[in-house]
Amino acid sequence: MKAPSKGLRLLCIGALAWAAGCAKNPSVTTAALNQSAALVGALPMNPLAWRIISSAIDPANGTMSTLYGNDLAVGYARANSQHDYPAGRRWMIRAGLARRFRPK
Amino acid sequence: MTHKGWAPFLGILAVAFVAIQFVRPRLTNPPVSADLDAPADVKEILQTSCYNCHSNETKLPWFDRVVPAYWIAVRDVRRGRARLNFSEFGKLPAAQQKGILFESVSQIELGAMPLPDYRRVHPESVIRPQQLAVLKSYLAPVEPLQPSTQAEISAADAQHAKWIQTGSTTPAVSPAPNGLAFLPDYKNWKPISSTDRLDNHTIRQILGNDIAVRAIAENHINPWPDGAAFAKVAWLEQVDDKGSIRPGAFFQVEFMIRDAKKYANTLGWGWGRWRGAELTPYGKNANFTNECVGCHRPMADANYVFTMPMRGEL
Repeated sequence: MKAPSKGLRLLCIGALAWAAGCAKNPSVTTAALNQSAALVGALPMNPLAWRIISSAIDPANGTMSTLYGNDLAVGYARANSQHDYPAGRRWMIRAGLARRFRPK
Repeated sequence: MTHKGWAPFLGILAVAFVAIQFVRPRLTNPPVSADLDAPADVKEILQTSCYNCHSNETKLPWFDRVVPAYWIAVRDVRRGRARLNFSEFGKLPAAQQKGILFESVSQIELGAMPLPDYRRVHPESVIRPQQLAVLKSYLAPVEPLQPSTQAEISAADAQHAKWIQTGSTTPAVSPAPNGLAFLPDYKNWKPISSTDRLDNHTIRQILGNDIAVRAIAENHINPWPDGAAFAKVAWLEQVDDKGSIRPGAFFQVEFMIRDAKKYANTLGWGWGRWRGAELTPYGKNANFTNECVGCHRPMADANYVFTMPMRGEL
């Protein structure tokens, strides 16, 4: 078989380039768990089992904190403005480095 | 096939190529009615990289005028203008302008815009890191945090006191315009991540229902299983005298509910957003989901989810 002419080669290259242009957009991010935020096994509670009471950002330290509570603590916090929490309530504060620091 | 045998085939191709040049959908540049108002350096970046598809000032280079490239260009310009048109941008309310610009910069940062195919053919449109920094700085200028006013604090406290009084009573909340029902029990879902947004000064918690939490524990999050649901709850930031931030007035709650078949037209997720303490459904009609889909589409390889949940066990 004779080698394709220069024109045909150019046409093929052009067709390939066009087809490549129509290909699926490249991915930008993939799904992943945040391993650096995992605290499993290091604490007396499980962040995925408790519920949220509040959160805060400390720009001076570049941290974001989350206050978790067990059912007793959450139930009280949602029904009272005071801080006279009942016996058996438990909290945990989890602080992590904020990914985007704020100006002081 | 011999070289001679290719000749008729190439001849037909050449004739077809010439013939399709006459199939030219109309592409005009309507008058610029309310162009984006931004500093010159910001505008220059957007004009170079975005205006060809996202304004009424489209300037197609010669190679985009040749069919079939022309067809692709016309399609992209039509879609681009429908989604965001900088030539009519000034007509939008200021808050909406800011939200759209935030989404635009996010898409650039994620590599989704300008479209990768477009960037390959138009290398001058690639936004370099220093240009991205200019855009981000314009969107969220680095300025000292201002403490919240007493009026803002009082309003947030009053809202919180009212919320405590109503307790578990849930007011009737209308579904989102796409029919997605409001799920009052989201408050009892479990925390899977937390974020803040510099541009609109909100602090956020992302909560997951039981199916989502189990998927995280078993690391089956791509794709997420049907029935998995997230609530992103946002409060306005309340800043004290020392610059520390805590949640102030409730701003909004958004849902993403996974059902690959039921929501096949919106990336396999049902979307909803409710604003303010009254939980007013967001959007005039079901098309509000175009905003959600447009913003989340670049996350295709993460099943369209931005959140990177913290690892956990059950």
